[in-house]
Amino acid sequence: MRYTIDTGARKHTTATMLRFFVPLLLLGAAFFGVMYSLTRDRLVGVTEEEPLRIGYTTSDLPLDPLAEYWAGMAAMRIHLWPQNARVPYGTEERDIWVRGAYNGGEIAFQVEFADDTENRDVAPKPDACAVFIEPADSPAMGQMMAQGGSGNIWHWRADWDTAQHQNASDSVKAVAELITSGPGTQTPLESQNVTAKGEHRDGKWYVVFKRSLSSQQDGAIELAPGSDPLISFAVWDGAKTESFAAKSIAIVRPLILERD
Amino acid sequence: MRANSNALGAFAVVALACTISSCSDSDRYSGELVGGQRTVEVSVGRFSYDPSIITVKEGETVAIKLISRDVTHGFYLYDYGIQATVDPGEIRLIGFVADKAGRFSFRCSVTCGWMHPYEYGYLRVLPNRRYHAGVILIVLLTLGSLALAFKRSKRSRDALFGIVPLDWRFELTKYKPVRNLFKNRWFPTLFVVLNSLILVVILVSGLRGGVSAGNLNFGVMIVWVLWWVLLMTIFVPVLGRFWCMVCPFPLLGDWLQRGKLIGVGQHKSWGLGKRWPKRFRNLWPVTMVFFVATFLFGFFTVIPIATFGLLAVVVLGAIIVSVIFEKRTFCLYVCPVSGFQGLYANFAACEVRVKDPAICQTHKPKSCYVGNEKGYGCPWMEQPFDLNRNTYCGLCMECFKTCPHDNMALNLRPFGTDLLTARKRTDDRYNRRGLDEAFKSLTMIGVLVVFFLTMQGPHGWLRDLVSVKTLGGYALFVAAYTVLSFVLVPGLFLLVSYLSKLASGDKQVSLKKVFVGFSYCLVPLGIARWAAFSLGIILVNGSYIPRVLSDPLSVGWNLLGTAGWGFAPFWTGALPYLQTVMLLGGLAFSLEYGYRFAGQIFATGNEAKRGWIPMLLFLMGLSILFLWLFEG
Amino acid sequence: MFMRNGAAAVVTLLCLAGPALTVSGCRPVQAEPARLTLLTRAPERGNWSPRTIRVQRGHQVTIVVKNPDTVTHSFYLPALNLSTGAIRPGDVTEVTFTPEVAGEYLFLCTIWCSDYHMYERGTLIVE
Repeated sequence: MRYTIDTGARKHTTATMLRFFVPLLLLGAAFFGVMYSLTRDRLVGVTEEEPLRIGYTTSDLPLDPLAEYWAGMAAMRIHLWPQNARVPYGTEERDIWVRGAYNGGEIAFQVEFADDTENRDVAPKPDACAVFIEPADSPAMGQMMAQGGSGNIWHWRADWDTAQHQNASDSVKAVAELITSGPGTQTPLESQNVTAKGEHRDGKWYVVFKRSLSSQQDGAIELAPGSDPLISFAVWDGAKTESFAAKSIAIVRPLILERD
Repeated sequence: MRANSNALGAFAVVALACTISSCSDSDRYSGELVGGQRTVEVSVGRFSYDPSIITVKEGETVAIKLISRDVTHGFYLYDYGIQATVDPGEIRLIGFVADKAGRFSFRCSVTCGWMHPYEYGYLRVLPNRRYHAGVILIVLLTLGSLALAFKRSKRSRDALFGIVPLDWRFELTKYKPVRNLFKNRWFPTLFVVLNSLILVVILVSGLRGGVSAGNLNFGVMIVWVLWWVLLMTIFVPVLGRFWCMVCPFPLLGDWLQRGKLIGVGQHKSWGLGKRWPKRFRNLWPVTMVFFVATFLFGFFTVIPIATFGLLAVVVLGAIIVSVIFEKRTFCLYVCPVSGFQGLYANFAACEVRVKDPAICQTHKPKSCYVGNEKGYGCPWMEQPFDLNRNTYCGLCMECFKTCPHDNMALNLRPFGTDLLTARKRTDDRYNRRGLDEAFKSLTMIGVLVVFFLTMQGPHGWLRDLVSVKTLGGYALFVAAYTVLSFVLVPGLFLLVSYLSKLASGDKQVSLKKVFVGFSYCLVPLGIARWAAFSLGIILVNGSYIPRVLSDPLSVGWNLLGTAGWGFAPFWTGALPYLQTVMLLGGLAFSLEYGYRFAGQIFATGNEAKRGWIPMLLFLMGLSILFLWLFEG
Repeated sequence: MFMRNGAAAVVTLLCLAGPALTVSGCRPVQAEPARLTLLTRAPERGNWSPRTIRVQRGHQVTIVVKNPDTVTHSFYLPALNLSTGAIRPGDVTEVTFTPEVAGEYLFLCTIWCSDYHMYERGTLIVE
């Protein structure tokens, strides 16, 4: 039997400890490194959405969708995907063309999208188009899915547009200004400050949305250069009986109000 | 005698005050109460509920409006058995009558990410009577034990709880078939080989599983739910190092060293056969390896490839250490789970011991230590002829084979008798009863607190830190966890030891002796709380096991027809009661032995009695802390 | 010399084995791909795999959708109005259909699965 004697062992303790703990910690660090890299996000098929940039103008912003003003402006093509998070799902992919501008007091967008049939009646379903704007610091889970968010929706419907034409009074509007804090929570804002007008020509809808930059009411998003909120669009095709969640939507992207 | 009863009285007042303060329900209730219905809006996201603690009053009708902050989640409420899922963008209404009082955990029931099994929240239905009852029982048990300690007769001191004599033994190997089994060279290697086959499946499934959900992976579930729970609830508390007997990891190393798998080959290792450094022949290395490994538990308990990585490191480590060092150096000083198994095995009700020491004294060849043609010298480098503690006995049964006089025995014994055993020989090879074992015991407290709070606690931020959401957060976790385990808990224990020394009035005793000596009364309580914690793992996650057994490699098999089984916890209503009983049992043993440790530490009986009181209070507080963690 | 012989042997083997492998490899493609396996994963953990699947017009095809991810997904082919509903992690669902019109079709996940849910999309090509 061998009995080792303790004397002299102590001075070797530091070296022994290093021999043991350094490899142990290195091994731990290596394990951590491998697991850390394996568990990080590796994005596949994700492209950054190009911001929608709109320019400043000193002129008035026409509500008429067919005005020369809009025709002369370069449009941004935005792709819409079938809505795929809520039943009923959307079914169509489509492209829309968006133009926009702001002046000292107002902001306006013109949305252009192809639609062979002009459905201005409640039956089968009216054509419709919506703009969705939410603050830049909204939860990453955007697209109206986040509960407790505070997005604004400007919802234009062809049947309301007809009613607006026929009434010619302020009480009937072609657009509803809504606030949403999640699916199924859209509520009209107290004061409806958005105006909109749609025209159908040569198989295409042209819809203009207009609102004052500063909304001055609770829940409505303030728009100003530098605020850079997030924006998205949705389109419903009445001929395909699309309504509610059955729609095509764009992925949210930054809206940049360019200074002069 | 007068001083004693005064101390007892003062102590009773303090204990009562503690009880009352812990019993007060000063909590505010959650949500809004309208017309007898309490509505609580709860959002769930990876990996927490908000609010994570819902407080209601017994008898109220509760409506939980559950929404998701990110992906599809679930809600499973213990005991009530309510299960619901919530898709993002929808509101799930969960209604029930809170007719059972107590604290009930709720957790996610739809796999939602790696940390899914740890997505927890608490429903507190007040008054939490069973928690209060538990606290009162702990206090009564402590007081009762103290009262007994002060008026113990000599006879009752030599019997556990005054009933079972401490030297009671029942020899299992007196039965011929048992002894023959242990003497057979195929035992326990055959079981090791069988376990190795399972290990291979675990490794393959872990590798194949990659970064998928751990709770649906054979490897992760078998290791961290089945094996871990068996280890902590049965193997270690009852059988000691039973797992070491059948553990597959040292198989290849043994084979390399011996040149033979079953038969007796090379007695001297084919490898370098070096001796482990003397300074490290204790529990320090395994304590450190285990602790460093627990830094990574946010990975390897939930991600298949991480479990694979950990097991692969252990397999490779076992081979490498076996080639460089002698015998079972790996098991003794490197294996991450060796430390607590070794320390806690001293509590177990099984032991391998010599039958008749007189025979060993006359038997000079010491074949149990050096080996012979029947078997190897103790691979665990114990001296079986002189074995008196379980810490380093791996139950490999070689000494049964090598002893020519059939003088080894496997005994049943009262729980925990090894805890009383101090260093037996001055020339003992191991540092017994040292700071290493004290620190193993003490660090296991911090580990369990962090494990419990992360795995079954309501705090999402802790899970974010542990699962490395950010590097900075992870660094904070590592630092705080290390400080808690190695500084705060031992520091508190040192303080209590110091108070104990002061109270005893023994001027001669060293603080280190008090610290180390009393650290062993943490062992029974430690085993109990780990068993209680582990029970919460198996009862809730056990239902994942039939699923992975049917399709161990995730290739679409359905071997047992259970591949489609869903998440179905069982006996969650009994869980808090079982946990209370376990804690009370552990505390009873801790108190029963602790008083005896006091007698070993301090010079006179009266000093021991006085010195015991601070430690007794500490144990009571520790038990209440864990009861509060589990139920409060 | 040995080197050259070895190289020649390798080239010969390649010449023989290459076409053989190509032919044998092509055969299943020419036969109808009755079953295709499709993995559904969030874009940050690999996205659909494969992201493009090819099927033959007029031939019945079964797509076996497996979810090896840690969150719930689904498979939705809007053009054919095919939807599997939720596929929980670890689960497997099959969709069988017969594409009648050639073209490229978009398929998506319909369960919000990540911040990049909208990017979990793939293409089904009917030839």
